Amino acid sequence: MPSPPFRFLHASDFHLDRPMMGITDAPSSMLDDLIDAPYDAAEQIFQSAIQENVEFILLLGDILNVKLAGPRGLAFLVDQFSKLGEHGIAIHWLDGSSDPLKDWPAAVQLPPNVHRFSTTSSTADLLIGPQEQPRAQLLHIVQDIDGKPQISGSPQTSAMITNIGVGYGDFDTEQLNLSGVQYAALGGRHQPQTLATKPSVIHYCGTHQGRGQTETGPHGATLVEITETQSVQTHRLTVDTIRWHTEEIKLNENNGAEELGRLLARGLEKLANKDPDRTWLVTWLLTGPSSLGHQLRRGGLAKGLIRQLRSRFDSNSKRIWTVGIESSKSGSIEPSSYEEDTILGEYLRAIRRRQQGHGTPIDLTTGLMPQPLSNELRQLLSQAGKSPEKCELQESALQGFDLLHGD
Amino acid sequence: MTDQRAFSSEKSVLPIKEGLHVRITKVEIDGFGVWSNLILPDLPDPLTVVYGPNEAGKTTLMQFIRTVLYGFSTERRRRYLPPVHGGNGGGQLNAAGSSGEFSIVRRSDGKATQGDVRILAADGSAQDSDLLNSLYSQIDESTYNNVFAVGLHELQELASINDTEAGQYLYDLTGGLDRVSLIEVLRELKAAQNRLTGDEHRAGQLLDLMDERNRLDNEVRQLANQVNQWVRLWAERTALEQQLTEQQDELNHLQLEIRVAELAVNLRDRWTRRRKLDQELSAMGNVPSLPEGIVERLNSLNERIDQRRKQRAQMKLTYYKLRDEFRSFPINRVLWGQQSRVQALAEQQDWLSALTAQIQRLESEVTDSDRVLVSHQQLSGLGNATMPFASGDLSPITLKSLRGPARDLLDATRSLDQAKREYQSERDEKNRTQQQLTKQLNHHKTTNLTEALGEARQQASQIRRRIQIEERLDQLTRSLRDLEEEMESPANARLLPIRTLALLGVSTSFFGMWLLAGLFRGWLNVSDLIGSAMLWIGGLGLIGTIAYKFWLEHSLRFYHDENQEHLDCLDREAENLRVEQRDLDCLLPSEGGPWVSRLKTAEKEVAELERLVPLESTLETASQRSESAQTHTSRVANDFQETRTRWATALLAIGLPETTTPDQLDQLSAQYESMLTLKREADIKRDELQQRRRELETLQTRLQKLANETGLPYNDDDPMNLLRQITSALESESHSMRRRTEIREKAKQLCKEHQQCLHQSDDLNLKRETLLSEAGVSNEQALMQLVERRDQIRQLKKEREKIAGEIESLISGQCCEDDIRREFEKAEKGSADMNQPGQTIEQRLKILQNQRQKCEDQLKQSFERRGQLAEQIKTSAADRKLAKARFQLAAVEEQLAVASRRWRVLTTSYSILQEVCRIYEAQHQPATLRAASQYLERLTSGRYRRVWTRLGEEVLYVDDADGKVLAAESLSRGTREQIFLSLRLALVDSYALRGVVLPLILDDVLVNFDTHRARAAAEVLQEFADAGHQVLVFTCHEHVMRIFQSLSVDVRQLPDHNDPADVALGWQVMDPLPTQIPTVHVAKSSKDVVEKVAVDAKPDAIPMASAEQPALHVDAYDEPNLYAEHTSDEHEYEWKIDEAETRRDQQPAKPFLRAS
Repeated sequence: MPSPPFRFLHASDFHLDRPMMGITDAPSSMLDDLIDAPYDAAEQIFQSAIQENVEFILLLGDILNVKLAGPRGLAFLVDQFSKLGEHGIAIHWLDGSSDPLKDWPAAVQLPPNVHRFSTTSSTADLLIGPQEQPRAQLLHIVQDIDGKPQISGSPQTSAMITNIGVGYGDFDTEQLNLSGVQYAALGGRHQPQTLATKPSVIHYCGTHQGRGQTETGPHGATLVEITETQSVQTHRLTVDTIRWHTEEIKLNENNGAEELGRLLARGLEKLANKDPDRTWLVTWLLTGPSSLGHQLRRGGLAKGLIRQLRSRFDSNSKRIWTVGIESSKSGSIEPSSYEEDTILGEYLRAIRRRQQGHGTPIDLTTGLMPQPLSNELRQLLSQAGKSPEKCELQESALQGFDLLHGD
Repeated sequence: MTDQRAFSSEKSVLPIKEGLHVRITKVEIDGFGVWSNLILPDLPDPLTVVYGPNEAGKTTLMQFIRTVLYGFSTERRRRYLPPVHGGNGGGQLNAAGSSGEFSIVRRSDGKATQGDVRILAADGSAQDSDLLNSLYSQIDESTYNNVFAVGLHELQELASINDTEAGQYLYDLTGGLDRVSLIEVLRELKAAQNRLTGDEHRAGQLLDLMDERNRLDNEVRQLANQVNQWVRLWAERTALEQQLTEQQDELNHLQLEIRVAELAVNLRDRWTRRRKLDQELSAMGNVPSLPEGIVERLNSLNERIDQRRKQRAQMKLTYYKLRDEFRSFPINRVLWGQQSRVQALAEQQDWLSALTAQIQRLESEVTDSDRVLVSHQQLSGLGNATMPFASGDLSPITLKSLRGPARDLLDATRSLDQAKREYQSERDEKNRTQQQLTKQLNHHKTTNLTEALGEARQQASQIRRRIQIEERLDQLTRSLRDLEEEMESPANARLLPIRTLALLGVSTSFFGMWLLAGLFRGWLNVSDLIGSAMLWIGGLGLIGTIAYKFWLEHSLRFYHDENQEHLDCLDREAENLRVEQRDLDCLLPSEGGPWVSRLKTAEKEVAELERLVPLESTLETASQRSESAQTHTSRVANDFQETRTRWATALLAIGLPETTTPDQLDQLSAQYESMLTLKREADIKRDELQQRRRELETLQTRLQKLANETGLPYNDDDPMNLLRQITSALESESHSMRRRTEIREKAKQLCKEHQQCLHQSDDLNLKRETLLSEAGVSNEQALMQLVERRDQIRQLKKEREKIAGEIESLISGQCCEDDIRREFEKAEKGSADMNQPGQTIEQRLKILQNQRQKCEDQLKQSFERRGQLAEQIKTSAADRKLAKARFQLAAVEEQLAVASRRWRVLTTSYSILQEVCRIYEAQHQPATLRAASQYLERLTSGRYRRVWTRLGEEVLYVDDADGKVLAAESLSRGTREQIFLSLRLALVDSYALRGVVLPLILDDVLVNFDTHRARAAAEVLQEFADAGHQVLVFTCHEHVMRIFQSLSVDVRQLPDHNDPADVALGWQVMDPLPTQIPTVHVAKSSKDVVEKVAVDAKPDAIPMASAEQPALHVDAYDEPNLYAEHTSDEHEYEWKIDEAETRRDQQPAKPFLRAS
């Protein structure tokens, strides 16, 4: 007799306490959206759970930091969990690094449909479904001392029960494949990722709302469907209200500033037509050979274009905000410049020596500090390290190139 | 020596480009300073030392060379021209260049700086001045003076090089190889860094961001703490929910008990009644059965019997009423008998009405006619006056006679109106002019124009006079001052000036001596012409001198007295003027500003007042016209009065009111006929009215007589009303007769009906007796008692059922009857037990209600608290401040990270650029400084190896042998001058490389060098000259000269410029003296040194170093050089001159370089 099919939602890394990062000059009309985006997206996930009539929801870590989220986060979760409880949907919440179980205030009782378990404590296996005929078993995946994944408890061998592993953190894919679970629901990574599909489906659902430039693309939760034959089918639910995006603009050598402006405007239109209901935070990546590198870096071209693009925000209901313009070629310097018998050449050679690990190391923490400095400022400036990083050396090279080139 | 050779060989191969090549071969000075007609021929090619003591003219020689090349500067002209020993200013230099030999001749023309300059070829032909132009274009005088012809002063002033082209060769580190200035870039990076970190003037972006971050961090921390408060609220709400449930249960229980108690209270009467009914029913027992309807039947019979009885009584009453009514209709038999007469009079009723109507109509018409007549009269303007219709005076003829007076009256009225209008117009014109003038006068604060004008003119005149006095006083004061100064000057004193007196004394003495000499010769009896002449000359001269003295004294006295008199006169005049000025100041107001402005104001006032004079005359004219119009009006008014009197007399004569106007009279004559007709019609109607009134009185008399006869009272004399009263009384009598007949018929019928009703009552009594016997009772009362008892039992049962139903309906759904019963039992038990008094239901209900109220209050408070908590929880949960603050904090941290990273990049760039600077400073020093370094190393015998400059700084640094960097300014004076000499040599080299080869002239630049340094310098200069440069070294120091001599350098001595013969010989070649290196005594002062050197300058008197008088120590690099503190007088003198010249020629002067 086949087991009845069922569905559940796999979500993690809400970080409800964490705001959008990297937006320093957002317009006031976008401010509320930026602040509310994590909550709006989370609410959409819970709404989807109700609409999709799921059996339960797996929340796998980093849902919210109680100390930083404030009352809003707590109230939001209690409210949403209560609504889910009214629809008979259970929540199984595995804590992560920022939402340990002990941090949850004891006075705030979660609704009875919420089941919390901790990564640090051994948790008994949990059977899901009617007691006489459970449909699935949740197995807690933890790392042992050697960093290998360990399953707490024994997977069910019955064909009627699906073994679902839940874990937070980084795990070895091969070891998980041997664990005997049909579906390994993992949290702790912000970008969605499926590590394996056979024999086990090993999946990170990622955060539900990207927060910075490193979290581009669609985000949401994963709807998992267990069929009668215990095969696993996953569907992505995209819920992010604000999307970080990097749009590539291909240039050629003949493209001038005006043409670049036109290309960017065209890209803007393309994005707007692609998903007009969403707010986009776009970083424009200029690729291909171009002579605009210096203008983009020092000539104010990038600033002017960004200003121009931002001025179109919220016009004609197009909510596309330009975060910045980057050029893949703007970081390169012609090799001939290194060979010049000029100050520039000397400068670039000195940089190259540092990049190759030669020359006297530069100590940014002592001699080069402007005097006097407050301790706080000194500490801040020395936080990144004593010597400049390679990328900082490259930026210095570009800066010196711009200053000493003389054009 | 190896180094020296290498250096020498390096220098010897210096390629000299084609360009400006000048080598001086001969100097000819026509006249310049102390030199006149000096010829210095055969100037050697490489190095020449020109020796001469102080003031021998070495500097003059160098200045001459500068002058020939660059002209007579103002300072040089002032100092060296005209020549001390006469002759023309100027001279010539013979030179040899790449293009051959030539001469530069420059002579002063006394005015122009350039003077007369010529270039002459070797054959004496004049050449173009291309050579000088080329020199000027490549080397300006400042550069020449600081590089090629250098005195000690120029040598020490390195800063002066900075302003020349030569400065570029020293300090231009990049040499134009790069596109940008490294220093500018460094500065830009530093500025960017400062913008981030701030400087002493302002906080930087990083600090601002950190402050903002700290602020937001604190805000986030504070807001994050709200979660604890929220949790507390949540816990409180949870506890409150539990408490609410308990309170709700308690309240429900109390509600139930209260409901039972309330029901018990509400049901108590019914409950008690039901129980009582039960007791009564049981007490009444059973009742025997009675025929159905017996009571109703009996009641029906009784009712019918009673009804018959009532009918009979009613009939009796009706009969009595009919009788009374019959009697209420009495009969007037007299009137009833005059019935025919009354009817006859009644037939006259219409006529009577018509008669009355006619009288009323006639009265109305008469009244109307009178009113129309009166209205016509009023329309004619006569009012209610009596019209003279009756007298017949008023007729068209008489009215026509009034037309003449009426016309006169109208004419007089028109004339009077015209005169009044004219008078009013003139008076208005006069008032307007008067107001205008008054306004203007008020503006000037006066009422009388003439007086005001006079005062203003007088004031203007006084002010003008005051100003004239003041000017005159100033003039007098100046004259007095000049006169006093003139009188106080020695030239105008009474006494002769000392100089004049001295001259007179000298003259007196002179002539006296002549006189005495003549007398003496006479006394010696030497009579000759000479003696006589001396006598005469002396005598006459003495007399003339004395006479001249007296004349001078007299003239002075006269002139002084005259001046004194003039002074007194001026004083008196000034005093008079001051008195007058004080008088005027008393007369004039003390305030008002300067007198000139006050005069302008006064003149303006006068002009304005004068403009009002025509207005005043206009006012007078208007007044005269107004008075004339007034007189005319009075005359016309008198005429009008007379005419009016005549008119009134004429009116009174025909009976009209005297107030009648001519217009009214015209109307009256027009309506006279119609008014007469109206009068006649009114009289006819009045007669007819009298007739009708008489007829009416006759009829009235008849009616009154009838009324009196029949006894009818009447109050109204109106015949019509009287007739109606009589007729009405007759009709009333007729009605009474008919009514009496009808009442009589009704009484008969009523008697019959009463008899029938009596028979029916008897039948009914019989039936009632039969019914009582059927019920088995003897009388009706027993039957009624029996029936009543039966009905009571029925009633009680019915009542009980009703009460039981009500009780059931009231408690249904709320509680059961047992609860109520228990409640009653509790109450009864409580009230019955006297020992333990319990509570009545009301008391218990009250207690329960109190408890419920308390519970409800608590519940309400709990609900309110729960609402507050819910609101607080909701508000707190909806608060987005924390999220907003965290968002802002993230943005600030992002900015901070970007700024921090930018600072790191900037600092890295700055560090790398500093390294590049060091590389450049080490490897890219200008060629001039490299050459200077080689010279310096030679001059200091390797003690200092390198002279260099930093990027962007015009400061010289020196590396010593140990690689230690020293600023040039920190070195001793001797070492600094070695550095500066090195720089000059290097600059000369540098110019040579650029094709400019000029002789190097050094004027006593080695004066501060000790022997060791001087020797090193001499060797370097010799090698420098050997490398192809012509060098002239001027020195006043013999030891220096000896050093050069020891190096086999051509040494020449300048001639004595005070000895023309010596000058004519030119300079002398000094014999070489290959002796040991001369030493110099340590001197205490520069003067000592100069004197010592001068004394010891003789070849055989060169002092040797000894234990007592050690030679000038050679290790002068660390110790202060005594020479550095003491210079020769000549140098001191030159320094002052040159300083003044430099200051004038090089304005604005830059500050000395620190090294200088």
